[in-house]
Amino acid sequence: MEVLKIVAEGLTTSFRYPHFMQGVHPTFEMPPPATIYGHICSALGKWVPPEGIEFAYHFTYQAKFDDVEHIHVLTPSSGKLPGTKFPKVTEGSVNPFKRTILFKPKLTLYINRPEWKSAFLSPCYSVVLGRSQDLFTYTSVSSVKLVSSAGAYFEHTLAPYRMALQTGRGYVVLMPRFLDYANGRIPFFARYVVLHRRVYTEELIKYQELIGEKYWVDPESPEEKGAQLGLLFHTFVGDYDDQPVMAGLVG
Amino acid sequence: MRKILSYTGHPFFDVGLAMVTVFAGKYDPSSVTEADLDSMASFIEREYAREPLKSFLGVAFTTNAWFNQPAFTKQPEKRSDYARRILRGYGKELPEERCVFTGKAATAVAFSDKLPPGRAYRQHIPLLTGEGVINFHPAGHTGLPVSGEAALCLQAFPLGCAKCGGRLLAVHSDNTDITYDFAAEFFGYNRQAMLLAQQAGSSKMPEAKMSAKTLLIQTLLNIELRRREEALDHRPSSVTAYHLTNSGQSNPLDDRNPPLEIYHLPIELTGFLVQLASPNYRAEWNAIAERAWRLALPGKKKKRAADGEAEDTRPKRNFLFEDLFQLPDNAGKFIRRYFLRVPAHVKTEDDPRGFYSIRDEASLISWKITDLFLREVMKVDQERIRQIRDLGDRLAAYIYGEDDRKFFTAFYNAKNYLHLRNTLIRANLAHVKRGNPPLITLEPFIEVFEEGFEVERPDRRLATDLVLIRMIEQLYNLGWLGKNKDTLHELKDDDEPEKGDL
Repeated sequence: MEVLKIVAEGLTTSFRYPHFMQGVHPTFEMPPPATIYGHICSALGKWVPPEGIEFAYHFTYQAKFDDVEHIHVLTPSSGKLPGTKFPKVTEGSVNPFKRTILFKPKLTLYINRPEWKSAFLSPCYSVVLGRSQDLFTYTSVSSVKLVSSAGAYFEHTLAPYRMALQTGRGYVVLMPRFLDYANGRIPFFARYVVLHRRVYTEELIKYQELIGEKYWVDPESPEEKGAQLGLLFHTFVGDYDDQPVMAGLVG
Repeated sequence: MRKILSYTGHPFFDVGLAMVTVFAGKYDPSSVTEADLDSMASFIEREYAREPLKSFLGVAFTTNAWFNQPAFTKQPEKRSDYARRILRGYGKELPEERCVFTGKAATAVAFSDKLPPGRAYRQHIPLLTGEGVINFHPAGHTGLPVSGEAALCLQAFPLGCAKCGGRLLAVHSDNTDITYDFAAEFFGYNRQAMLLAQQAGSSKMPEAKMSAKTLLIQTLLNIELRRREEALDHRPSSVTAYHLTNSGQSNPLDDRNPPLEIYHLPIELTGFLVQLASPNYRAEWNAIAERAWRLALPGKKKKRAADGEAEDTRPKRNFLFEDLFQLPDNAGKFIRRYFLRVPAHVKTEDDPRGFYSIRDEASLISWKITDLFLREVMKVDQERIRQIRDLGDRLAAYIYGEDDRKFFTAFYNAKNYLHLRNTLIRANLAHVKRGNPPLITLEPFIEVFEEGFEVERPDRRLATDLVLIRMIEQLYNLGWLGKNKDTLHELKDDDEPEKGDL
């Protein structure tokens, strides 16, 4: 399988839990799939159909800390701006919010669309990941032919929820899987396993139906104990082996 | 029967749904009926409008926000109308919008005269923005669309939480049985506290008597013990706790009492805790946990008694439980502290870890618990664990057989790697000179301590601590340690690597 491999690095990033809005903004420790979709579309310069896109990633950061932000909390308004004839559209007040930030994030993103290489070499919009001020740089854009192997290791990645029964480590989190921009940004959620520490396929709890399963590995990744970095691909829409999920299925 | 509800993965909704299910006396939320929803709604309508829940709910839904606000005390019809809107909106769908939680049609009911139909705000769902605030919503559409069932579950949510440090502690897991058990446990306590407060004429819900993290671990251990006794399935799952307040008085910049803290217990930790509930480990673990409770200081006790306050002597914080949340990152330090009993530099006198002692608490040093920790939390492979254990056994047998106090003291006090290595080589040579086979051969030595020839492993200090744990346990069981207590000087709390070490 040939994929596009993009290495992106930044100084800060933050992926807010969508339903925690007031006062504090904790962050997911991995970019949610919906964020990855937005990032891809930003590079391409258009909303591409999400069907058929598959992605995997390796995401690290050096530290996590809290920052204080002043957020302008806005409400719709009417009338004129003082001393002018300009209509007043919104008004609000400045509020201190505490936001958790990931320092020195690095994303290695694999997409099953090698034909998008030129778009990532010359991205349409500013390269950001997380908030609009979280500027990123693509330090490498290349195509790579993945290798299928029964032996791999997984680390610093998002695993599909079904693997919670196998990994024996990590924690489960509900993340936005896709925002339907064509329909008022309706969100769809799914559960994933946040996997920081390395797990080798030989350590995975084996279930009958999974014996002999093979994984995609990156042949350019460091080799440890005879294994290389395994990639767990996700989709934005369509079937997902996790019910129930918030707001039902999409696709 | 029509299936009304199922878990969604969202913590507030799921805890609320578990609460509705508990209240209905059922276990499976898919068996909850409209009659059960009505029953929950009636309870909330009655109890949320009076003390002590009336005051308590400011934590979850802000004060003066909806049907329980004081302005409605003299307007019972209006209060009933608002309660009906919020609690009984199910069956009145608005097909244009979908509930963000359940994916069903949002309710067509507006939660107040000023609000658009089916839209919920901070007074209905904790930690959302208030009415009219457009930040964080698409296209300026404020609030979240919810179904009637979801609105009710979210109102039931605080009943399934513990009141802890002036905030709510909600516990959620991808294993819905655990979410249910926590909600049931906390509701049992809340219902009793509510009745006691009403009988006493008090307007306050009592606080949980433990800190949030301690309460979480203590409750989880109790739940796992019960689940084990009931022979229930233990599948790998993680637990996440949300310690929150939605009160308008909360200050996001208050580090000591922030509006929201999230605690994760990853799968490796819950797997460890599940095992600890088994009879095989319970006694050893309880003995270690027992010595981690914050100490009651006599000076403070006297002051409270002098002030005429009823004294609560129950411990509130267990340092072992709280330090579990630092894992697996801090595993080496955790092992050193709790399994090897190395005392800590502590800031306060009531921290029992300052009094830990290898000499006086050798009976607490347990390879069995350490072995479980290595397997479940650190995922160390069995072969390496076996090598470390065997080395500990061999060294203990040597010390006991030769009564070699000098070697024991040197190994125990070895500060850096070269010192440790030389100590072992010297003992090995002496052992061979006495006509014995080598005490330790090259291969196991390298496997345990070295990454390459004469290059120590990054976790060499941890390996040394583990060998010591096994060695001390064996020597204690053989009675050698009891006779040679004077050989044991307390190890220092040297969290920072010393010069030349590592």
